[in-house]
Amino acid sequence: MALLALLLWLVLRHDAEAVWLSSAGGDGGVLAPRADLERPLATTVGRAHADVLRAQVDLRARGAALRARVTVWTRPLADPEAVGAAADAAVRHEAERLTGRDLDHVGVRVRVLKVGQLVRYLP
Amino acid sequence: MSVFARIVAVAVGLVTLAFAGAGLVRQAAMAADAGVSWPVAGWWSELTAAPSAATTAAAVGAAALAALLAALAYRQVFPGVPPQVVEYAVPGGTARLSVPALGKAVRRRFEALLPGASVTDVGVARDGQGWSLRVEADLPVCDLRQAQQTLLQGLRDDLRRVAGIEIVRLDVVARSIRPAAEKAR
Repeated sequence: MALLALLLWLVLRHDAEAVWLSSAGGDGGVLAPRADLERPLATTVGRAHADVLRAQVDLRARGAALRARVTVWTRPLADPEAVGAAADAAVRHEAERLTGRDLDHVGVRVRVLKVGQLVRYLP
Repeated sequence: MSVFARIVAVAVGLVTLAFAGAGLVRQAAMAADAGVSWPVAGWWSELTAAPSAATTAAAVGAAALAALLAALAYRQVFPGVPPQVVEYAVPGGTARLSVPALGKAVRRRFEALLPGASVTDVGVARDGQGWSLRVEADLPVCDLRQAQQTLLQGLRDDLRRVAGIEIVRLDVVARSIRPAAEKAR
């Protein structure tokens, strides 16, 4: 049973830790740690709009497609559409700078905080 | 490992784990209390009470498959030491290539082409299409796709000139990607 559990762990352990960025010509690519790409992306999104308090980016590669799911927490009364657009543009720009390719899909979720929640999110 | 193969492996592993767990619980319960009666399923009794040629063949097949999968898993975890010298055919004979020497040359060239990078491992392989390089390194923040192409072109030119081999593929495994200032700390 321990051996079985070990084998299962071996199969599952690398599921989500790295992103494969294949070259356009099919002559190799780069296997990059997901966290090391997500960190600068989140920092960039955090600077994309004055109302952003915190940002989180989840990067996924499915086949050749590269996708990002962005979650942004903003100050109360922020305009979610403006923040969402700024986050979308920022994450696309930074992803292109880091990976050399545009993201195939970006999903942005903006969470406008209430005043009572601010204390947990202020830097 | 493909997604499908991974799903199959996980499903088979979980089912087998469930069966093994049930067997373990059964044995423990029966050992703890002699009064416990926990008969095994009827189909299993029928299968094992009077084994036929078919069941024997199935058991042998399953055991062989299990052994094969265990061997594959072992090779996956412990790939072994790759050959230190690669021999390949050239017009008019064979040539020998020292992998450690090639690794040193690749490391130097890689770090020169991508300042701030630090190579930790180099692997070389050859198939029908040509030579492939696998480089494991800590990388600076950069355009990764552009960097891969620059490195491939640089290493290809260099190794064609130095060793007379044609690199057709470069896989870079980034151990980390850090801003240059952060790496220096």
